[in-house]
Amino acid sequence: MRAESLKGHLDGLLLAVLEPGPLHGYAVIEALRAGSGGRIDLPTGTIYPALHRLERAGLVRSHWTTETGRRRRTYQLTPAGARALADTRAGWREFSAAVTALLTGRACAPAG
Amino acid sequence: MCTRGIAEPAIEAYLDDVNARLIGPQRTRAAIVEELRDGLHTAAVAHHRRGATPDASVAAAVEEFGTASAVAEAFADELATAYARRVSLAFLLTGPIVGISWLLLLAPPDWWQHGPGALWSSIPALPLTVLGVVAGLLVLAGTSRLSRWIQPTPRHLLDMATLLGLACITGDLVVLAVLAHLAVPTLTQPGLLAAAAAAASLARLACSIATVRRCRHARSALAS
Repeated sequence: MRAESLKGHLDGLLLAVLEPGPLHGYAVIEALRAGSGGRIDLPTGTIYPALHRLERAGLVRSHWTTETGRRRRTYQLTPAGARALADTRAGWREFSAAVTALLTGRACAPAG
Repeated sequence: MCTRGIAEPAIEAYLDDVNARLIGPQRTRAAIVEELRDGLHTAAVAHHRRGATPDASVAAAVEEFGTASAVAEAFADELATAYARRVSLAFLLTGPIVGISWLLLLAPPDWWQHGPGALWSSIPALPLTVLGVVAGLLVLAGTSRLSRWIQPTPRHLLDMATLLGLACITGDLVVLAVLAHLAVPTLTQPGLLAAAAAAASLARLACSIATVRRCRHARSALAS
């Protein structure tokens, strides 16, 4: 899957992979790959800045630990991040239902 | 697999290359490099577990992260944001020290009885102070959690920080010119205060010029 196809959805995907529990940056990347069956394999360099941006927005928080002599930054969802994820999911369901209806030619229930 | 030893120089050379291309606050850059180091070692271990040799594991990890210039470019927005926030915070925190010095020196006696007009005419840099404070507060808002709603671009934040720096430069030049025009003996306050205010403004002038230059440099690193 191309990176352009995911434009606008990366934040939601990152929040979703952090929902089960805290992860360090590379584990987030592996979780994206594993969770999408290898279809989502974004350039690693784009993931770290996106995590920093989410932290600045208060949707995730990070803390540093030291493991085997190396410092490691771990990210976890904040309550605001969990709310943003719920909103993203609701928006996605609505969007995908509308697009699916149009692409398949099947009528979609009116928005209400 | 231990990625130290033979793999370490390759990872460190890559990180040095990335670090040289990052433009922004030193502490933020160091944290980015530290995080990338951990990620690269973790990636190399993952490749090694899939059967690659230590050298091939590191090469694969580096390839996965992308070229040093691509990684630096990906971080440019966040670094620009961090820089704009840092300089705005520094100006807003140190501004009152410079401002109070000039207020004590140039404000006419009993100015509060004559209204803000008297203060305005004695300290012509006041409108610039207001402009600078507004620009600084906008940067702080745009780089805080409020960024979720107001979403300024890094370019806008750097422009605001530049505006703040330019307001400081102009304001400091104006008050220094006023001081030179009045000449110290005619001032109501002693010469020591005049020297302190002038020194504070000169120091800030140097910092402001450097800040404006760095903002322009950081702006040029942003993708168009």
